[in-house]
Amino acid sequence: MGPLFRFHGNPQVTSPPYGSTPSDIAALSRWRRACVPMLLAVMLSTIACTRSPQESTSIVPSADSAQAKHAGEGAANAKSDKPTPAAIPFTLPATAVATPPAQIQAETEAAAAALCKRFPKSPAALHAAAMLHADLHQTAKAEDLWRKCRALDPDHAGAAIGLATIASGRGDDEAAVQILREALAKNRRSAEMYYYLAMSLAKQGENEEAVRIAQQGLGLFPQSSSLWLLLGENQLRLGRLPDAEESLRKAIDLGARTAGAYHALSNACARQGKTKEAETFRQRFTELQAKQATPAGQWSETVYPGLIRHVAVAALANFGEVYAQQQAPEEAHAILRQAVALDPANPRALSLLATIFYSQKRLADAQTVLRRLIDLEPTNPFHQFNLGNVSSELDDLPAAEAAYLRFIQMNPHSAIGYEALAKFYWKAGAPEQGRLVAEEAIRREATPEGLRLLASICRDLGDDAAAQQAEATAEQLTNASRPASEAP
Amino acid sequence: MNHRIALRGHLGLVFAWVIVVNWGCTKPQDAARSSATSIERNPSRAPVLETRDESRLLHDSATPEPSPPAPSATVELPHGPLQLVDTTERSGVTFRHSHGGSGKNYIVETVSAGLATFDYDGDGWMDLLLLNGAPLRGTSTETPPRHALYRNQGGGKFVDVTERAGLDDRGYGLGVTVADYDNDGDPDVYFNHFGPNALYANNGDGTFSNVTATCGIARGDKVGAGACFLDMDADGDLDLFSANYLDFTYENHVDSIVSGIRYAHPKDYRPVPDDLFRNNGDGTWTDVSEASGLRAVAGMGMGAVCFDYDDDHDADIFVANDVGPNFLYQNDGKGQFVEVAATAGVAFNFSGRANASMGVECGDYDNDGRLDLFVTDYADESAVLYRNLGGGFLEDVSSQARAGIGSYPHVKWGAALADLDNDGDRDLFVANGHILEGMEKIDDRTAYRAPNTLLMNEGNGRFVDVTRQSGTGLAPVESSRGVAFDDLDNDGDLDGVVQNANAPPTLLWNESPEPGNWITLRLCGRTANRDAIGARVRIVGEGFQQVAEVHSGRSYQSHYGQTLHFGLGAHDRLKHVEVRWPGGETETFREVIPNQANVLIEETSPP
Repeated sequence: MGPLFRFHGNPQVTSPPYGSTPSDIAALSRWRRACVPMLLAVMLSTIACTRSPQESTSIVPSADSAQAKHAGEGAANAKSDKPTPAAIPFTLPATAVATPPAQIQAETEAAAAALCKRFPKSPAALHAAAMLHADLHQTAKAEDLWRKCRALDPDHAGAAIGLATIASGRGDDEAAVQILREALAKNRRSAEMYYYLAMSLAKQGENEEAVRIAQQGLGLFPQSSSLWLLLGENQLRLGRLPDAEESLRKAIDLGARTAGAYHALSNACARQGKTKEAETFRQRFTELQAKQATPAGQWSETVYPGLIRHVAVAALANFGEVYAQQQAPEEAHAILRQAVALDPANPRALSLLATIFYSQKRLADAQTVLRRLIDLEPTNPFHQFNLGNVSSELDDLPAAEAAYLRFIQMNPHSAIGYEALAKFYWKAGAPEQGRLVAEEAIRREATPEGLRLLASICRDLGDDAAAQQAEATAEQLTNASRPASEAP
Repeated sequence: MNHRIALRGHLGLVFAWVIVVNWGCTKPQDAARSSATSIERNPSRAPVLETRDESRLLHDSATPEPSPPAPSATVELPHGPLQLVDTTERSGVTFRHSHGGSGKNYIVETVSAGLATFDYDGDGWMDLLLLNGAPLRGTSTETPPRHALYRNQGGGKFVDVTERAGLDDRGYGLGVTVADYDNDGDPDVYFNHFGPNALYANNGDGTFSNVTATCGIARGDKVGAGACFLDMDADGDLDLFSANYLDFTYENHVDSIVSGIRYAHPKDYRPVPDDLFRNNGDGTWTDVSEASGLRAVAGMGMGAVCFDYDDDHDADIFVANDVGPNFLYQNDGKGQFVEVAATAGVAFNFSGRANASMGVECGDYDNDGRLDLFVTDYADESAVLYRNLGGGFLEDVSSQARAGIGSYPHVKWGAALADLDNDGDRDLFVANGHILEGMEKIDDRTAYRAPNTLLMNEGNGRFVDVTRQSGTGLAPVESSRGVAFDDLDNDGDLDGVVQNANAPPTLLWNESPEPGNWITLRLCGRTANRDAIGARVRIVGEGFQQVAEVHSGRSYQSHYGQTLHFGLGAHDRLKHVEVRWPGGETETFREVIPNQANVLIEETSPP
């Protein structure tokens, strides 16, 4: 957990989310974004809209109260499973609401309490509230919630990591190691679990064992940049310089482009006499340090309020996710609106809000939010993909086509964009174009779904032979992927 | 670590204080004229008190006969190999620190103060100087607090001689350092205050004169920090480094509320460059901060230590900076400095993060012949042990050495690398405590008052936390700041004093059950500065060696350890002692006998 009240590092990152590793935040974020299409589908099928919207807290601008009402209307309309144009279009706030940090903290804590009261038997709810308290360094409250969480779900990985992190933060790394070893023994394996175990071991000076655990974790999660970074750091501590250099380079390649990673890599190179490379990495480290530096003389005015806001937004987004998972979309919507009011440029809150809008069939609002996301993260292809889906359902054909094409441009080797575009063309009454694009998808990856789509299009076009061939290939692929016991 | 070595028994450990002809205040020229041998000791091994030069002391007429100090605390802790006993109540030290706050929580309240142990009157007993705060704006008091000088009467007893000694300064105390800047054979005192700093010259008769006004070192209303005397240009007199914290004034105070308490954060202020004064040799000083290159950077200085990190025979300066990279001013030998902390590896911790550093201690923790650094820092940060690799490079080995254990959640301040069990390696004492009352509302893992930490050196480059097994001296829970370790009872082991914010200090009497052999060395320069500040000492025995350097100013805004102490474990003989005097000449002293105090005078070793 980072120093919340004495900021020494990156103002954008106060603490890792429990259940993720610090330098995996970017990767986690990518994962979450990547899961938006999946979330859209899952949430659409699971969310029942039966509750009235939660009262907005004062974090939400009062002008939005009408929209909170509108959220209820949208939810009611969702029962019919028909897209309904919003009576009052949702307007994303352009600037963050000006709320004093003490009020933000109090209201976020109140939101955590309300969440726990609403779902006292939900491990996810208790976990989300515990994360907030841990971020606020209220570790007794966090510990209590995580213990309750573990009582409900003894295998809850997030609770184990949370309790271990609290122990480590109190200087009791032995306890942290014990908690994490027990969790791993229960097969609750995750990159985060290995990361925190290796880190606690390193803090105790058990660098050899930290290396072993990191390597074990990487055997299962080879794409975890944090584990590579931790491995490299401990190899460096042990003087295994070429190994350290290799691990650190791998960590950076996988996305851990942090000041710390370049600092360690520079040291690894310098100690091997690679002075030129060491200097290059040192310069990169210095640049990143400079970017992270907070201006002098502004802690109370800007840094501290920013930190509190950052913690609050992360927590509110978590709460929104829990409400959504618990089939309470109105509360999810309301609390995500609070998060967005505090930080209109927060990608996670916006992604979740888009998901909620989609689930409520407020497609125009979902489209609005996705466009904001694209403005914020223009290189994230999944926003384009989601925008394509939403625009398609809205019959906004130019927007849908443009979004899918941008997705394909960003991911030319992936089949899913071609499949989506093919489906779009087919449903838009352009089956010939759909067929061409579906064939492009299959060239990239022949999946049963893609082949069946191609078969359907071909059948529409009257090419039964091609349709039968595609169906047969799809069947073969399906059978090949089945376990032997299920084979026909 | 070797606590099971066969010793002659603690009580049978024979102490003999070195007798040098008035060495405590002998001028170099006098020492040179004397017929004293280069290594002088008391062959009779007379009791300590008999060696005191009573004629030079300002005695309290009620000076009691020495008696063994008795523990005052009632907490029973299981006994480990290190035993520090809290003797505060029986010591006669009635001082109580005051940060002078009125509830505004000015940032200066959070960082006061340091202390010093030194022998002000040359009687062979380490005395105690405790810095105090002063009433800040909005605070009214009938009797403003003042610094306090306690004369060590032996037997664990101290008496307040502040006013008689003329050291009753009422500045807002932060840092202090001590050395014989005028080479007249007695230790002088420099206070680094919030507000004008003060230099007190020792008159040689147990009194001091405030010479600030005439010497040219008072500087406005800066917030001071650690300070060090050093001979930056090897000209034989001591120059003065004075760290500064930040640009706080009453007018730019930021009243910030966090979780319901008034919170003071350094990043609400701007860093201030440190100061360097060259000794003109005539009692005056010249501000060379700009000319020397120090003003090229500005940080939030806290603790400081001067040491020769790159082994090029000159005094470099390390400054522990709050909320920013540390500074290491590399000396070119002529008093020109370049800041090289990042290149040397001490600006950041292992992960490339600039900690909120507080104090710094310097010593060779792994006995590899190179001086390492231990830097304390803020809560939620591991204290950092930088191992000196040689060639001007250091690396953070906190993890491997387990140097950060036991103190992680707390704000850490003073620190001492001191061999408390005389087993031949340096243990680690860390003073803890948060910055403001009520901090537990902001972070419930720690509190304003927190236990201190004692780590025992296992002799293999690693430390083990023995806080809970190390006696009543570790029981008090205060908001500690500066620490000092010296042999306060002249029994051959190191005792300690902890300065506690807004509270009385804690005296730690070393009663470790099986202390090893030891030796203390006091250096006396003739060509070099009188206190031999900056001298590097290497003791060499059969199969072992240790190094230390004479420092003025260290840890958290404090001063101690000018008499070098070495634990020797089972070794009761030394082959020789090498002294590299400031300026570069190395001299070898043979037949230096352990278990007694020795004085080594420059240019007097037998050929």
